[in-house]
Amino acid sequence: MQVPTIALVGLLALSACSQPQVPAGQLNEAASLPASFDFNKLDLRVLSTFVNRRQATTATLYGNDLARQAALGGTSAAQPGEVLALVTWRQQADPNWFGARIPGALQSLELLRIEPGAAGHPAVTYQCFTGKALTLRADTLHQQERIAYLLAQKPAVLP
Amino acid sequence: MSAAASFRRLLLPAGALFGAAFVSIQFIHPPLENPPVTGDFQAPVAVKSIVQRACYDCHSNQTNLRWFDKVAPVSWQVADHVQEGRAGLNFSTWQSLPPADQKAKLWESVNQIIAGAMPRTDYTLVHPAAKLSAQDVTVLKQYVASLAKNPPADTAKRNAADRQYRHWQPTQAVPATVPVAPNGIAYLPDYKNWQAISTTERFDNGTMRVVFGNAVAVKAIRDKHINPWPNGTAFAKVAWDQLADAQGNVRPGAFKQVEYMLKDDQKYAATKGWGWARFKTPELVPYGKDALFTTECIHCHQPMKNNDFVFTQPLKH
Ligand code: HEC
Ligand code: HEC
Repeated sequence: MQVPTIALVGLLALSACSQPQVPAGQLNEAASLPASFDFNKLDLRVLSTFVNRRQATTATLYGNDLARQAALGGTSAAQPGEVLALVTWRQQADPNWFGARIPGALQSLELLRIEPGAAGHPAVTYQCFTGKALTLRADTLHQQERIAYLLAQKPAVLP
Repeated sequence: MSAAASFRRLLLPAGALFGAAFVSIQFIHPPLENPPVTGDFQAPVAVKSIVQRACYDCHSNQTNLRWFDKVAPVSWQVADHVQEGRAGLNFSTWQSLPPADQKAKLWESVNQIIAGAMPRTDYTLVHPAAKLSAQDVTVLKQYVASLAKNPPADTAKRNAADRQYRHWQPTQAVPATVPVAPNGIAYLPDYKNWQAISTTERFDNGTMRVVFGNAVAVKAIRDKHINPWPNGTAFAKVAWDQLADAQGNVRPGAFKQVEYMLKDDQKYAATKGWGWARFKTPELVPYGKDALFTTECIHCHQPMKNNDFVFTQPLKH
């Protein structure tokens, strides 16, 4: 009894140290958007990506063609039809690469749309969804600040 | 005559034959040479002694073969490992590498160690002294981490990014001649319309990246069929310099490169089922002297072999 047990333990120990398991076939569930939100129907493209080192967050900015053109043009006034979305995650260490951080828990999704407003002035609507379920936030705190921030971003060079 | 007796009668000549073959194969392979050390790896003593003990037999010109390494046919495999090991990473010619490449090789080394890929297990089985303890790994991790410095961007870095941005004309169609990598894989402009499946902040080398996946990749993610990834899957990874301000806000600076992995287990069987390509700078200059550049990609992606050679854990949108 004794000998086989020792042999078995030895074998297990051997196989355990020979290959640390790299997670295989795994999705990044924590960072995934809820299917119910249906982000894809917005049909947006990547414009840029950001990191905030103090808050340890990372974000990706998306936009439709109109928003992309406006962002490229720089200062030109907002056009009705523009859509921008900024998805922000808390960062986590990359389990597969010491030296990298990847998206962790989903933190927020900010959605900005420019719509035709009264008297020919385009109207900006801004919504902020938070948490794993992306629930719409009711308060309007910092909205103007966020709108200005989103509209000020330039696209990253993507040749 | 019994079966056992006839077996015994055969044993002697067979043994003699085997012995003769064994002796003669000792002369087949040229002996492994130790070329001169031209610029040895420099690091704090604690770090260097770990690397010398665990890596120098295959990754330096100071290979110290034990008698059992010199006996064919084992010696043939040892020689192959040393040749291949030196080709990818040689601590004896370390000083000829630019500082950024030295840093990159060290981070790669630590990652190969963490993943259990290095030192090779077939080697540590017979050279147990080369095994690394958890303490050794910590020492190496702390050392490479101390090399990572990502200060706020200086004027030069900002100007480079601004200049590049001004020259970039996103409305311009694809260049008249599409750039092609030495292995025949062409630049694919359409990656910009694919979905982002992850992003990475690389503090090891001061870059930030977006990984894009095509429609096949996105469907595979939705269906959770990502190991192996289906044929037709395509990834594009874009890297930029980090432009950090004093408050720690980081945005993409100069575009560095776009890299592809295209899955086709038949067509790309020789390169682990993936077609690899890299195009550098906004001029999209193909990377690699010849088709063998893929060895470098595969070696670094090797620790992910149980995950179809893919690092990224994709997220769903
Ligand atoms: C028995 C020989 C052997 C030993 C010992 C060994 N390696 Fe390797 N190494 C190889 C071979 C062969 C390759 C080529 C790829 C493969 O086989 O995985 C390689 C590849 C690598 C690579 C990828 C280089 C490239 O081609 O870009 C790195 C990094 C590396 N080894 C680091 C290390 C480190 C660090 C150690 C010590 C902790 C170590 N190796 C010990 C044989 C060895
Ligand atoms: C020094 C290590 C290293 C080398 C060499 C390397 N890669 Fe990677 N690669 C990575 C890491 C780490 C990731 C994960 C994303 C990240 O952190 O940037 C990655 C990710 C990728 C991805 C996204 C899919 C995935 O596996 O996550 C592509 C595409 C890619 N690499 C292509 C290439 C090509 C083409 C080459 C060779 C020209 C190459 N790589 C060489 C380390 C490397």
